[in-house]
Amino acid sequence: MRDATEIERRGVPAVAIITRPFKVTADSMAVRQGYPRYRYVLVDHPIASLDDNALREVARAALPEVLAVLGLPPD
Amino acid sequence: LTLETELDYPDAVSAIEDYFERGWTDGLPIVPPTPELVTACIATAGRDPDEILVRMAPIRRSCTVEKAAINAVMAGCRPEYFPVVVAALEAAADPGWKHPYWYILNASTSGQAPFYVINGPIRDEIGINSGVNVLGPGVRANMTIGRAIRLILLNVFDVRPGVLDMSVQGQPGKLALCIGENEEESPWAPFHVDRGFNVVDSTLTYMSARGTHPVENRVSQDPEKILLTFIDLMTSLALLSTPTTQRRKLILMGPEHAHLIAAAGWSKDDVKRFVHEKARRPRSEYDAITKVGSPSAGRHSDWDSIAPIPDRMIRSVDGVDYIYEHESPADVLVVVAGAADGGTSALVPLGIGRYALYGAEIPCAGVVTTPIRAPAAAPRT
Repeated sequence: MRDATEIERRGVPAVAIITRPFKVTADSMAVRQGYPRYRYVLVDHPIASLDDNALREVARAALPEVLAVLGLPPD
Repeated sequence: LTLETELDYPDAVSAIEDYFERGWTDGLPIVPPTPELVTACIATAGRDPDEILVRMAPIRRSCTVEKAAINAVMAGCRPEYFPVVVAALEAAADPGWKHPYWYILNASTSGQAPFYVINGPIRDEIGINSGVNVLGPGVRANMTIGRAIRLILLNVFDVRPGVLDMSVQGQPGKLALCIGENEEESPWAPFHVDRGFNVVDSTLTYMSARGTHPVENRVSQDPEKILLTFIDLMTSLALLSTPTTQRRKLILMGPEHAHLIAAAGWSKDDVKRFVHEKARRPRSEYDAITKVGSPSAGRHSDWDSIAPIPDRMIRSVDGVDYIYEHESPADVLVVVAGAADGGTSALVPLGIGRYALYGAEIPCAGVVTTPIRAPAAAPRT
Protein backbone atom coordinates (compact mmCIF):
# COMPACT_ATOMS: atom_id res chain seq x y z
CA MET A 1 0.00 0.00 0.00
CA ARG A 2 2.81 2.33 0.85
CA ASP A 3 4.59 1.49 -2.40
CA ALA A 4 1.43 2.28 -4.40
CA THR A 5 0.78 5.59 -2.67
CA GLU A 6 4.43 6.60 -3.03
CA ILE A 7 4.32 5.82 -6.74
CA GLU A 8 1.06 7.77 -7.14
CA ARG A 9 2.67 10.69 -5.32
CA ARG A 10 5.27 10.72 -8.09
CA GLY A 11 2.47 11.03 -10.64
CA VAL A 12 2.45 7.43 -11.85
CA PRO A 13 -0.85 5.50 -11.64
CA ALA A 14 -0.55 2.44 -9.42
CA VAL A 15 -2.78 -0.32 -8.12
CA ALA A 16 -2.19 -1.90 -4.74
CA ILE A 17 -3.15 -5.59 -4.61
CA ILE A 18 -3.70 -6.77 -1.05
CA THR A 19 -4.63 -10.20 0.28
CA ARG A 20 -7.79 -10.23 2.38
CA PRO A 21 -6.27 -10.71 5.86
CA PHE A 22 -4.38 -7.43 5.35
CA LYS A 23 -7.46 -5.28 4.59
CA VAL A 24 -7.39 -3.46 7.93
CA THR A 25 -3.63 -2.92 7.62
CA ALA A 26 -4.04 -1.60 4.08
CA ASP A 27 -6.79 0.82 5.12
CA SER A 28 -4.71 2.02 8.05
CA MET A 29 -1.61 2.47 5.91
CA ALA A 30 -3.61 4.40 3.27
CA VAL A 31 -4.76 6.81 5.98
CA ARG A 32 -1.14 7.22 7.20
CA GLN A 33 -0.02 8.05 3.69
CA GLY A 34 -2.71 10.71 3.31
CA TYR A 35 -5.03 8.78 0.96
CA PRO A 36 -7.91 7.75 3.25
CA ARG A 37 -10.20 6.63 0.40
CA TYR A 38 -7.49 5.04 -1.74
CA ARG A 39 -9.02 2.36 -3.94
CA TYR A 40 -7.22 -0.96 -4.17
CA VAL A 41 -7.84 -4.60 -5.09
CA LEU A 42 -8.35 -7.44 -2.63
CA VAL A 43 -7.38 -11.01 -3.53
CA ASP A 44 -7.47 -14.32 -1.68
CA HIS A 45 -4.76 -15.40 0.72
CA PRO A 46 -2.18 -16.98 0.59
CA ILE A 47 0.11 -16.00 -2.28
CA ALA A 48 3.60 -17.08 -1.23
CA SER A 49 2.97 -20.82 -1.31
CA LEU A 50 1.09 -20.94 -4.65
CA ASP A 51 2.69 -22.47 -7.71
CA ASP A 52 2.83 -20.48 -10.95
CA ASN A 53 -0.44 -21.81 -12.41
CA ALA A 54 -2.41 -21.04 -9.28
CA LEU A 55 -0.82 -17.61 -9.06
CA ARG A 56 -1.78 -16.85 -12.67
CA GLU A 57 -5.38 -17.72 -11.80
CA VAL A 58 -5.35 -15.20 -8.97
CA ALA A 59 -3.96 -12.55 -11.33
CA ARG A 60 -6.51 -13.37 -14.03
CA ALA A 61 -9.39 -13.11 -11.58
CA ALA A 62 -8.13 -9.78 -10.24
CA LEU A 63 -7.53 -8.21 -13.66
CA PRO A 64 -10.98 -6.67 -14.29
CA GLU A 65 -10.88 -4.91 -10.97
CA VAL A 66 -7.30 -3.75 -11.50
CA LEU A 67 -8.36 -2.18 -14.81
CA ALA A 68 -11.39 -0.62 -13.15
CA VAL A 69 -9.20 1.00 -10.48
CA LEU A 70 -7.09 2.47 -13.26
CA GLY A 71 -10.27 3.71 -14.99
CA LEU A 72 -9.73 1.47 -17.99
CA PRO A 73 -12.36 -0.64 -19.80
CA PRO A 74 -12.46 -4.33 -18.75
CA ASP A 75 -10.86 -5.54 -22.00
CA LEU B 1 -1.41 11.98 25.54
CA THR B 2 1.14 14.63 26.55
CA LEU B 3 2.16 16.39 29.73
CA GLU B 4 -0.53 18.97 28.89
CA THR B 5 -3.29 16.36 28.89
CA GLU B 6 -5.41 16.70 32.00
CA LEU B 7 -7.10 13.54 33.10
CA ASP B 8 -8.49 13.61 36.64
CA TYR B 9 -9.30 10.43 38.48
CA PRO B 10 -10.52 9.94 42.05
CA ASP B 11 -7.89 7.25 42.61
CA ALA B 12 -5.24 5.17 40.86
CA VAL B 13 -7.53 2.20 40.27
CA SER B 14 -9.98 4.38 38.34
CA ALA B 15 -7.12 5.63 36.19
CA ILE B 16 -5.91 2.08 35.55
CA GLU B 17 -9.40 0.99 34.50
CA ASP B 18 -9.86 4.03 32.25
CA TYR B 19 -6.54 3.34 30.49
CA PHE B 20 -7.79 -0.19 29.80
CA GLU B 21 -11.03 1.26 28.38
CA ARG B 22 -9.12 3.63 26.10
CA GLY B 23 -6.92 0.82 24.78
CA TRP B 24 -3.73 2.39 26.12
CA THR B 25 -2.28 -0.78 27.64
CA ASP B 26 -0.69 -4.06 26.57
CA GLY B 27 -3.33 -6.00 28.49
CA LEU B 28 -1.73 -5.47 31.89
CA PRO B 29 -2.49 -2.64 34.31
CA ILE B 30 -0.38 0.48 33.91
CA VAL B 31 1.06 2.92 36.43
CA PRO B 32 -0.83 6.21 36.02
CA PRO B 33 1.68 8.64 34.44
CA THR B 34 1.50 11.60 36.78
CA PRO B 35 3.36 14.75 35.67
CA GLU B 36 5.76 14.34 38.61
CA LEU B 37 6.82 10.83 37.59
CA VAL B 38 7.11 11.75 33.91
CA THR B 39 9.14 14.86 34.68
CA ALA B 40 11.45 12.82 36.92
CA CYS B 41 12.14 10.41 34.03
CA ILE B 42 12.92 13.22 31.63
CA ALA B 43 15.22 14.87 34.20
CA THR B 44 17.07 11.62 34.75
CA ALA B 45 17.84 11.34 31.05
CA GLY B 46 18.79 15.01 30.95
CA ARG B 47 17.04 15.47 27.62
CA ASP B 48 14.76 18.03 26.00
CA PRO B 49 11.19 16.67 26.23
CA ASP B 50 10.44 17.68 22.62
CA GLU B 51 13.53 15.99 21.18
CA ILE B 52 12.60 13.31 18.66
CA LEU B 53 14.33 10.04 19.51
CA VAL B 54 13.19 7.87 16.60
CA ARG B 55 10.93 8.04 13.58
CA MET B 56 8.98 5.22 12.00
CA ALA B 57 9.17 6.50 8.45
CA PRO B 58 6.71 4.14 6.69
CA ILE B 59 3.87 5.24 8.95
CA ARG B 60 5.03 8.84 9.40
CA ARG B 61 5.21 8.80 13.17
CA SER B 62 7.92 9.71 15.64
CA CYS B 63 8.57 9.43 19.36
CA THR B 64 9.72 12.32 21.52
CA VAL B 65 11.48 12.11 24.86
CA GLU B 66 8.26 13.18 26.58
CA LYS B 67 6.12 10.49 24.96
CA ALA B 68 8.76 7.88 25.72
CA ALA B 69 8.81 9.00 29.37
CA ILE B 70 5.01 8.82 29.69
CA ASN B 71 5.03 5.24 28.45
CA ALA B 72 8.05 4.33 30.58
CA VAL B 73 6.17 5.46 33.68
CA MET B 74 3.09 3.54 32.53
CA ALA B 75 5.28 0.44 32.11
CA GLY B 76 6.45 0.75 35.73
CA CYS B 77 9.93 2.12 35.12
CA ARG B 78 11.74 3.97 37.86
CA PRO B 79 13.25 7.28 36.65
CA GLU B 80 16.76 5.83 36.70
CA TYR B 81 15.73 3.20 34.14
CA PHE B 82 14.73 5.87 31.63
CA PRO B 83 18.21 6.43 30.10
CA VAL B 84 18.08 2.76 29.03
CA VAL B 85 14.69 3.31 27.35
CA VAL B 86 16.17 6.34 25.58
CA ALA B 87 19.14 4.24 24.43
CA ALA B 88 16.75 1.58 23.10
CA LEU B 89 14.98 4.17 20.95
CA GLU B 90 18.25 5.72 19.81
CA ALA B 91 19.42 2.26 18.76
CA ALA B 92 16.32 1.94 16.54
CA ALA B 93 17.19 5.31 15.00
CA ASP B 94 20.77 4.22 14.26
CA PRO B 95 21.56 4.54 10.54
CA GLY B 96 22.84 0.95 10.59
CA TRP B 97 19.43 -0.25 11.55
CA LYS B 98 17.65 1.59 8.75
CA HIS B 99 14.36 3.15 9.75
CA PRO B 100 11.95 1.03 7.71
CA TYR B 101 13.08 -2.06 9.56
CA TRP B 102 12.06 -0.57 12.90
CA TYR B 103 8.58 -0.66 11.43
CA ILE B 104 8.83 -3.83 9.34
CA LEU B 105 10.16 -6.08 12.11
CA ASN B 106 7.53 -4.88 14.56
CA ALA B 107 4.71 -5.25 12.02
CA SER B 108 5.88 -8.55 10.55
CA THR B 109 3.78 -11.70 10.36
CA SER B 110 6.83 -13.44 11.88
CA GLY B 111 6.00 -11.93 15.28
CA GLN B 112 9.47 -10.68 16.17
CA ALA B 113 10.24 -9.01 19.47
CA PRO B 114 12.73 -6.23 20.22
CA PHE B 115 15.51 -7.85 22.23
CA TYR B 116 17.89 -5.81 24.36
CA VAL B 117 21.18 -6.89 25.89
CA ILE B 118 22.60 -4.53 28.50
CA ASN B 119 26.31 -4.44 29.35
CA GLY B 120 28.49 -2.53 31.77
CA PRO B 121 28.09 -0.86 35.16
CA ILE B 122 24.49 0.29 34.53
CA ARG B 123 23.38 -3.29 35.23
CA ASP B 124 24.39 -2.99 38.87
CA GLU B 125 23.44 0.67 39.16
CA ILE B 126 19.79 0.05 38.32
CA GLY B 127 19.49 -3.67 39.09
CA ILE B 128 19.23 -5.38 35.70
CA ASN B 129 19.16 -9.15 36.01
CA SER B 130 21.75 -11.11 34.09
CA GLY B 131 21.65 -14.28 36.18
CA VAL B 132 19.09 -16.79 37.35
CA ASN B 133 15.84 -16.86 35.28
CA VAL B 134 17.30 -14.16 33.03
CA LEU B 135 14.67 -14.61 30.31
CA GLY B 136 11.85 -14.98 32.81
CA PRO B 137 9.88 -12.53 34.92
CA GLY B 138 10.66 -11.29 38.41
CA VAL B 139 12.99 -8.31 38.08
CA ARG B 140 11.51 -4.86 37.73
CA ALA B 141 14.21 -3.25 35.57
CA ASN B 142 14.24 -6.04 32.98
CA MET B 143 10.48 -6.27 32.73
CA THR B 144 9.58 -2.59 32.78
CA ILE B 145 12.30 -1.39 30.38
CA GLY B 146 11.22 -4.04 27.88
CA ARG B 147 7.56 -3.24 28.49
CA ALA B 148 8.18 0.50 28.00
CA ILE B 149 9.24 -0.19 24.42
CA ARG B 150 6.13 -2.31 23.84
CA LEU B 151 3.87 0.45 25.17
CA ILE B 152 5.68 2.97 22.95
CA LEU B 153 5.11 0.72 19.93
CA LEU B 154 1.42 0.46 20.82
CA ASN B 155 0.65 3.96 22.03
CA VAL B 156 3.07 6.23 20.19
CA PHE B 157 3.50 4.36 16.92
CA ASP B 158 0.06 2.73 16.97
CA VAL B 159 1.57 -0.60 15.86
CA ARG B 160 -1.40 -2.54 17.19
CA PRO B 161 -2.17 -6.22 16.64
CA GLY B 162 -4.61 -6.71 13.79
CA VAL B 163 -4.00 -3.25 12.35
CA LEU B 164 -0.30 -2.59 11.72
CA ASP B 165 1.12 -5.49 13.74
CA MET B 166 0.15 -8.55 11.72
CA SER B 167 2.02 -11.21 13.74
CA VAL B 168 0.50 -14.58 12.97
CA GLN B 169 1.05 -15.69 16.56
CA GLY B 170 3.44 -13.23 18.18
CA GLN B 171 5.48 -14.51 21.11
CA PRO B 172 5.58 -13.98 24.89
CA GLY B 173 8.80 -12.02 24.41
CA LYS B 174 6.82 -9.21 22.83
CA LEU B 175 5.86 -8.13 26.33
CA ALA B 176 9.45 -7.55 27.42
CA LEU B 177 12.84 -8.96 26.38
CA CYS B 178 15.58 -7.04 28.12
CA ILE B 179 18.50 -8.82 29.80
CA GLY B 180 21.93 -8.11 31.18
CA GLU B 181 24.99 -10.08 30.12
CA ASN B 182 26.39 -12.11 33.01
CA GLU B 183 29.84 -10.57 32.57
CA GLU B 184 30.88 -11.67 36.06
CA GLU B 185 30.37 -15.36 35.30
CA SER B 186 31.55 -15.25 31.71
CA PRO B 187 34.97 -16.73 30.92
CA TRP B 188 35.32 -14.32 27.99
CA ALA B 189 35.41 -10.56 27.37
CA PRO B 190 31.99 -8.92 27.61
CA PHE B 191 29.77 -8.65 24.53
CA HIS B 192 30.04 -4.85 24.32
CA VAL B 193 33.83 -5.20 24.09
CA ASP B 194 33.28 -7.42 21.03
CA ARG B 195 31.16 -4.54 19.73
CA GLY B 196 33.97 -2.01 20.11
CA PHE B 197 33.23 -0.47 23.50
CA ASN B 198 35.30 -0.37 26.67
CA VAL B 199 34.55 -2.69 29.53
CA VAL B 200 33.62 0.29 31.76
CA ASP B 201 31.07 1.63 29.26
CA SER B 202 27.38 0.94 29.72
CA THR B 203 25.70 -0.10 26.49
CA LEU B 204 22.49 -1.42 25.05
CA THR B 205 22.46 -3.74 22.05
CA TYR B 206 19.25 -3.85 20.06
CA MET B 207 18.33 -6.92 18.06
CA SER B 208 15.08 -8.38 16.78
CA ALA B 209 14.34 -11.84 18.20
CA ARG B 210 12.32 -14.37 16.24
CA GLY B 211 12.07 -16.38 19.44
CA THR B 212 14.06 -17.85 22.31
CA HIS B 213 14.69 -21.58 21.88
CA PRO B 214 16.13 -23.74 24.67
CA VAL B 215 19.34 -25.65 23.92
CA GLU B 216 19.99 -28.37 26.42
CA ASN B 217 23.11 -30.49 26.73
CA ARG B 218 23.90 -31.79 30.23
CA VAL B 219 25.60 -34.91 28.94
CA SER B 220 28.93 -33.68 27.62
CA GLN B 221 31.84 -31.43 28.56
CA ASP B 222 33.29 -31.45 25.05
CA PRO B 223 33.06 -28.05 23.29
CA GLU B 224 32.33 -29.63 19.91
CA LYS B 225 29.55 -31.81 21.29
CA ILE B 226 27.97 -28.91 23.14
CA LEU B 227 28.14 -26.70 20.07
CA LEU B 228 26.77 -29.41 17.79
CA THR B 229 23.64 -29.25 19.93
CA PHE B 230 23.23 -25.58 18.99
CA ILE B 231 24.03 -26.29 15.36
CA ASP B 232 21.39 -29.00 15.12
CA LEU B 233 18.75 -26.48 16.13
CA MET B 234 20.16 -23.73 13.89
CA THR B 235 19.98 -25.94 10.84
CA SER B 236 16.47 -27.24 11.46
CA LEU B 237 14.17 -26.60 8.51
CA ALA B 238 11.89 -24.56 10.73
CA LEU B 239 14.61 -21.99 11.31
CA LEU B 240 15.94 -22.17 7.77
CA SER B 241 12.62 -20.95 6.46
CA THR B 242 14.06 -17.52 5.69
CA PRO B 243 17.51 -18.63 4.70
CA THR B 244 19.02 -15.51 3.25
CA THR B 245 17.47 -12.61 5.04
CA GLN B 246 17.43 -13.69 8.64
CA ARG B 247 20.48 -15.81 9.19
CA ARG B 248 22.10 -14.17 12.19
CA LYS B 249 21.98 -16.10 15.43
CA LEU B 250 22.55 -15.07 18.97
CA ILE B 251 23.90 -17.84 21.17
CA LEU B 252 22.69 -16.94 24.63
CA MET B 253 25.08 -19.21 26.45
CA GLY B 254 24.51 -20.34 30.00
CA PRO B 255 27.61 -19.88 32.19
CA GLU B 256 28.05 -23.65 32.60
CA HIS B 257 28.30 -24.26 28.85
CA ALA B 258 30.55 -21.19 28.50
CA HIS B 259 32.93 -22.41 31.20
CA LEU B 260 33.16 -25.94 29.80
CA ILE B 261 33.96 -24.59 26.35
CA ALA B 262 36.46 -22.01 27.64
CA ALA B 263 38.11 -24.57 29.93
CA ALA B 264 39.02 -26.58 26.85
CA GLY B 265 40.88 -23.54 25.57
CA TRP B 266 38.26 -22.20 23.17
CA SER B 267 37.87 -18.46 22.64
CA LYS B 268 34.61 -16.83 21.56
CA ASP B 269 36.04 -16.57 18.05
CA ASP B 270 36.76 -20.30 18.07
CA VAL B 271 33.10 -20.87 18.89
CA LYS B 272 31.96 -18.61 16.04
CA ARG B 273 34.32 -20.22 13.52
CA PHE B 274 33.25 -23.74 14.49
CA VAL B 275 29.56 -22.88 14.26
CA HIS B 276 30.02 -21.14 10.91
CA GLU B 277 31.91 -24.12 9.51
CA LYS B 278 29.50 -26.80 10.74
CA ALA B 279 26.10 -25.12 10.41
CA ARG B 280 25.10 -26.20 6.92
CA ARG B 281 22.47 -28.35 5.29
CA PRO B 282 22.27 -30.05 1.88
CA ARG B 283 20.31 -27.93 -0.55
CA SER B 284 18.19 -30.95 -1.48
CA GLU B 285 16.77 -30.94 2.03
CA TYR B 286 15.59 -27.36 1.63
CA ASP B 287 14.08 -28.20 -1.71
CA ALA B 288 12.20 -31.11 -0.18
CA ILE B 289 9.93 -28.73 1.71
CA THR B 290 9.36 -26.25 -1.15
CA LYS B 291 7.40 -26.33 -4.39
CA VAL B 292 10.42 -27.62 -6.28
CA GLY B 293 9.29 -30.72 -8.15
CA SER B 294 5.64 -29.74 -8.52
CA PRO B 295 4.65 -29.68 -12.21
CA SER B 296 4.14 -25.93 -12.40
CA ALA B 297 6.52 -24.91 -9.66
CA GLY B 298 7.88 -22.11 -11.83
CA ARG B 299 10.23 -19.48 -10.66
CA HIS B 300 8.48 -19.03 -7.33
CA SER B 301 9.40 -22.54 -6.38
CA ASP B 302 12.10 -22.07 -3.80
CA TRP B 303 13.70 -19.67 -1.38
CA ASP B 304 15.68 -18.13 -4.21
CA SER B 305 12.53 -16.47 -5.47
CA ILE B 306 11.99 -14.69 -2.17
CA ALA B 307 15.59 -13.67 -1.66
CA PRO B 308 18.30 -15.03 -3.93
CA ILE B 309 20.81 -17.16 -2.08
CA PRO B 310 24.24 -15.68 -2.82
CA ASP B 311 26.82 -18.03 -4.27
CA ARG B 312 29.07 -17.29 -1.33
CA MET B 313 26.62 -19.15 0.91
CA ILE B 314 26.55 -22.30 -1.20
CA ARG B 315 29.47 -24.69 -1.26
CA SER B 316 29.80 -28.04 -2.93
CA VAL B 317 31.44 -30.74 -0.84
CA ASP B 318 31.91 -34.25 -2.31
CA GLY B 319 29.28 -33.54 -4.94
CA VAL B 320 26.68 -32.30 -2.46
CA ASP B 321 25.54 -28.66 -2.57
CA TYR B 322 25.37 -27.28 0.94
CA ILE B 323 23.70 -24.07 1.97
CA TYR B 324 25.64 -22.52 4.80
CA GLU B 325 23.62 -21.13 7.64
CA HIS B 326 25.81 -18.07 8.10
CA GLU B 327 27.71 -15.86 5.70
CA SER B 328 30.66 -15.60 8.06
CA PRO B 329 31.59 -16.26 11.70
CA ALA B 330 30.47 -12.68 12.39
CA ASP B 331 26.86 -13.79 11.86
CA VAL B 332 27.16 -15.76 15.10
CA LEU B 333 26.93 -13.66 18.26
CA VAL B 334 27.73 -14.95 21.74
CA VAL B 335 26.34 -13.49 24.96
CA VAL B 336 26.66 -15.21 28.35
CA ALA B 337 23.56 -15.03 30.51
CA GLY B 338 21.74 -16.97 33.18
CA ALA B 339 22.82 -18.91 36.25
CA ALA B 340 25.71 -21.38 36.42
CA ASP B 341 23.49 -24.19 37.63
CA GLY B 342 22.82 -26.34 34.59
CA GLY B 343 23.93 -27.26 31.10
CA THR B 344 21.33 -25.26 29.26
CA SER B 345 21.46 -22.24 27.00
CA ALA B 346 19.23 -20.57 24.45
CA LEU B 347 19.34 -19.86 20.75
CA VAL B 348 17.89 -16.57 19.61
CA PRO B 349 17.45 -16.46 15.83
CA LEU B 350 17.63 -12.82 14.80
CA GLY B 351 15.61 -10.88 12.31
CA ILE B 352 17.27 -9.17 9.37
CA GLY B 353 20.93 -8.93 8.55
CA ARG B 354 20.40 -8.26 4.92
CA TYR B 355 17.22 -7.97 2.97
CA ALA B 356 16.45 -8.57 -0.67
CA LEU B 357 13.65 -6.62 -2.28
CA TYR B 358 12.87 -6.62 -5.99
CA GLY B 359 16.23 -8.20 -6.64
CA ALA B 360 18.23 -5.56 -4.75
CA GLU B 361 20.16 -6.40 -1.63
CA ILE B 362 19.61 -3.91 1.16
CA PRO B 363 21.99 -4.30 4.07
CA CYS B 364 20.64 -3.73 7.53
CA ALA B 365 22.81 -4.08 10.60
CA GLY B 366 20.19 -6.00 12.55
CA VAL B 367 22.42 -5.58 15.59
CA VAL B 368 23.11 -2.10 16.93
CA THR B 369 25.05 -1.27 20.10
CA THR B 370 24.58 2.17 21.57
CA PRO B 371 25.97 3.82 24.71
CA ILE B 372 23.69 4.39 27.69
CA ARG B 373 24.25 7.80 29.20
CA ALA B 374 24.64 7.57 32.97
CA PRO B 375 21.46 8.55 34.78
CA ALA B 376 21.55 12.08 36.14
CA ALA B 377 20.95 12.28 39.88
CA ALA B 378 17.20 12.22 40.29
CA PRO B 379 14.98 12.23 43.33
CA ARG B 380 14.09 8.69 44.39
CA THR B 381 10.34 8.37 44.14
